[in-house]
Amino acid sequence: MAHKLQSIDRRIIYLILVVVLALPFIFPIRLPIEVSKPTQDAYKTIDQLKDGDVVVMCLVYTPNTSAEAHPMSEALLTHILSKKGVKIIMATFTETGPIFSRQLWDKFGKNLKYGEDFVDLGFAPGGETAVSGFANDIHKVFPVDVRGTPVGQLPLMQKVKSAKDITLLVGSETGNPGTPEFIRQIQGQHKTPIVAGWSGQYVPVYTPYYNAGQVKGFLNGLRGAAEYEILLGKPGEGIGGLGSVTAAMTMVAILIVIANVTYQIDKKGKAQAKEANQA
Amino acid sequence: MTPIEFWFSILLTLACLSLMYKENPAYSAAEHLYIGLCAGHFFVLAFNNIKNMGVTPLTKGNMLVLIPIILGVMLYSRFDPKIRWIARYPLSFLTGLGVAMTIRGSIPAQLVPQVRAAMVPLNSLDNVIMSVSTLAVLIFFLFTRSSLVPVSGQISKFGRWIMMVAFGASFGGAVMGAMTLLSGRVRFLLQVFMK
Repeated sequence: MAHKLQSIDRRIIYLILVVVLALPFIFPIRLPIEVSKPTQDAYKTIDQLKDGDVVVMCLVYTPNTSAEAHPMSEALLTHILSKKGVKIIMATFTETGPIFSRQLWDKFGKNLKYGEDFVDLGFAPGGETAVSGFANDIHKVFPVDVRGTPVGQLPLMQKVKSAKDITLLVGSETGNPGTPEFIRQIQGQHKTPIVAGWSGQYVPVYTPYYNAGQVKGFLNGLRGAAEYEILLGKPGEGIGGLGSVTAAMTMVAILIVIANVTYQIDKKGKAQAKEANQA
Repeated sequence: MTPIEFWFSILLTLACLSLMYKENPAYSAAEHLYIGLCAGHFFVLAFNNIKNMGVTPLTKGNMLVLIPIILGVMLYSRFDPKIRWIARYPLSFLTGLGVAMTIRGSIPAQLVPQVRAAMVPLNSLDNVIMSVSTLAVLIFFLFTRSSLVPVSGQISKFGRWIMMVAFGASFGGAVMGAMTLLSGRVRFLLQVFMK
């Protein structure tokens, strides 16, 4: 039995996994979600924004991680846009960032005036060097916006020249340059507060930045997005997908336990058989 | 999303998921399409960057951009074995710049605040666990430990366990990311049947 379970066809596991992922969408399950302190802190920081404050939002993710990061971006942007008079600048240091910023503006930017309420600077190459340049002189790193307009011609950008003019940096990240680079080049040098949305795998690595007070608050992947949607009172992609991901993660945990138990049983059985043969 | 875009997405999603059964032409086609699209996307971005940050300032009389342009062109010398050595200069420049940039920010922004944050009063279980774990992991990286601390072997082993816990948490997060992605695709496919 243990040997049979060890050699189960992987396609059967894939099939079960897809079914487990799909079922919560067909029969929605209500999960009790407790809002964690880092999410509450992120919410409080954004909630304190005032008329005229400038927020820079950095989208550092790719299509293969967007399912986790994009709901965080949507939740954070929804909150920022609910604050009257707050200006938003979108800037990315990942090649695929402009794809997602465009998706966000298509969804949320209909009632906003481009150049005055928000600006999309697009992508700047150079990783950490670009982040450093951005902190010191935004106009040099982004001479034109995503539409090809010289940034000096945009009313909002005439007031925002460097990190000193930024009230808050919001990062939605699943890679580099991310929080460590923002801390080294922006927060550390200019004391600009940071709120971030991190992919689940980065949370254990980046949490020390939150404990040290260098990051004001953070969202933990899809779960963080769901928590933030609860605080906003607007269910979205986060809450919608959490039931499905929870079911799949439970299945993965069960499979890991079964695999380890059957491996040990199988190993013991083989050892006993070997001993019997020798006897 | 227009109906054509919607159905094209559905087909591509199914083609990609078909790899779960076995390697097939539909999957290969989707894979090649993705690679081609990425190459095109990056080419356009690179072209615009060279235009906006190199050519345009140059035409406006900013001769300083000639330095990075020349360094950039020097990188291409690696394609000819006879003049490959030329590429070492821009590479050295890039490495030096990267290291300097990181070190400049690391000490005031990462090292000092992190050390300060690790100095916590031992008045709660959380703080005790954090302090003991930090010390144990630091001792793990002391390679001359045997001569310094008598029980360093055990502490180092404990430090390794602590790191294993952190790696496990990180792996769990990576699995969750993958499940989130698959969940998003499954939800997308279900839209067809639940409409």
